[in-house]
Amino acid sequence: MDENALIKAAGANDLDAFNRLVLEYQARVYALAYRIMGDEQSASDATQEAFISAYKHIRRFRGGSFKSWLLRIVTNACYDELRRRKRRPASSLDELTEDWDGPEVSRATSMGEAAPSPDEMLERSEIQAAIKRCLDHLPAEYKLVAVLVDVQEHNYQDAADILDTPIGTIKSRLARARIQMRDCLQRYRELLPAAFRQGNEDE
Amino acid sequence: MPERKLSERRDMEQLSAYLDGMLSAREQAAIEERLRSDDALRRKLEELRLTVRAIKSLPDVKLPRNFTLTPDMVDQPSWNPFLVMRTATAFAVLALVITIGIDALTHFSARGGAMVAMEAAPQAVGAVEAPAMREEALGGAASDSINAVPEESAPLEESVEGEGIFTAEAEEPQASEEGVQERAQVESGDAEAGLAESPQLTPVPTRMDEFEDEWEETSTPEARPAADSMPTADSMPTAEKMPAAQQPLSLIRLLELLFGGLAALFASFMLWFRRRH
Repeated sequence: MDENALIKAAGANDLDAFNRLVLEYQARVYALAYRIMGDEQSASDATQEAFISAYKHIRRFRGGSFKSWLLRIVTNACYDELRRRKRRPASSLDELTEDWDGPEVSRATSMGEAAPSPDEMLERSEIQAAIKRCLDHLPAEYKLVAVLVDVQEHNYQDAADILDTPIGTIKSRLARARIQMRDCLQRYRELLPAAFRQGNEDE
Repeated sequence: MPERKLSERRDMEQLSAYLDGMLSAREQAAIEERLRSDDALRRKLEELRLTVRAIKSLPDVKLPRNFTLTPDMVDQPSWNPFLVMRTATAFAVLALVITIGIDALTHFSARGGAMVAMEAAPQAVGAVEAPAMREEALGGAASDSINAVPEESAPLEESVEGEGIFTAEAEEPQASEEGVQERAQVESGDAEAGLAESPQLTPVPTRMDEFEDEWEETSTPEARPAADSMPTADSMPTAEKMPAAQQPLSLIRLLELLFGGLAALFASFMLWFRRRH
């Protein structure tokens, strides 16, 4: 059964048909959620919530890329959660900047955490942990674009479709996300390639 | 300073888009011209390039579990009424088609068998029809004789009176049939001629059992061979056997109605559930 037939069947409350679509796209949906949310539990919750929402509203799908439609749903779910967290006391990029005291990335003392999370332990190297930390602390609207374009390697148009945003906004937000990432990664300069350190030190 | 920051931001946006090949040809030519002469701009481009490379170096995320949905997650009953009704409709239609098929086959085979039997035993058919024909003939003759005899008793009386011959018999207008018939035998030349066509049927059969009793005894020689062939026509769908042969067909018709009704019912529910959702 092809994707359109599965979508149609799912629209007729065929849960098995929808679950076949879930199996097809869950890896990509979860990966996006994980990169936006930054931890396994939040990403799992957002992914599950996104699939439930997609199933309940699948009749609203009006053709086009089903993958983009799913990614938009999970992106919105993540964005809502991030905004909700923002209203609560939490660590921020400013806090990260203030607490920065050297290249002890693995200790993560600046993140308000006592020890590295299991997710971070899974990262293969300290540089990857540093990149993840910087990404996690981007403002939500910048992070969404950076994850879609730089992590998941969607083109600008796909990102614009998923985020339902003009392509000019994507271009602008991506540039700002990259600048903030650059500035954040400067703090981990010992971990970064020499050329990167050199450029920073020259300034 | 704000102007410088604004210019720097615009430069960074241009460099970011340049990395992705998202600048127009004119913008790209302009930024490349500046990059050739501006070391600081070149350095910023390199920083961005390394940043993007760093972000892209993040490892793939491993899926912790499957995210397939269960009915309770979506507040859906474990059975879907629409799907159940759709399946039930399909089964009812299938049963209806099979029943109609069996009906058609049974119907054609019965007709075919009857036609074969009719071709094989035309004499038997004649035998079946013969009694009816004889009944008509005999009934007609009998009624003729009845009409001819008792009801003509008045004109007969008139004629008797006119002719002055049968005074004794004319004094018994309430005479029994036997008496009338006996008298008819005696008196009227026309009546004799009519009865002569079936001379042994003078006792007029007013009931079938009487007729049948008489039939065995008084069958004409022409009718006997046909009557003799009656026992050989057991295989024929005679008037007595036809209801028994039609019974399975009636059952099939009932099943057809049942399955047709169920199919319509299930289809209605199916459409209703679909519309409701």
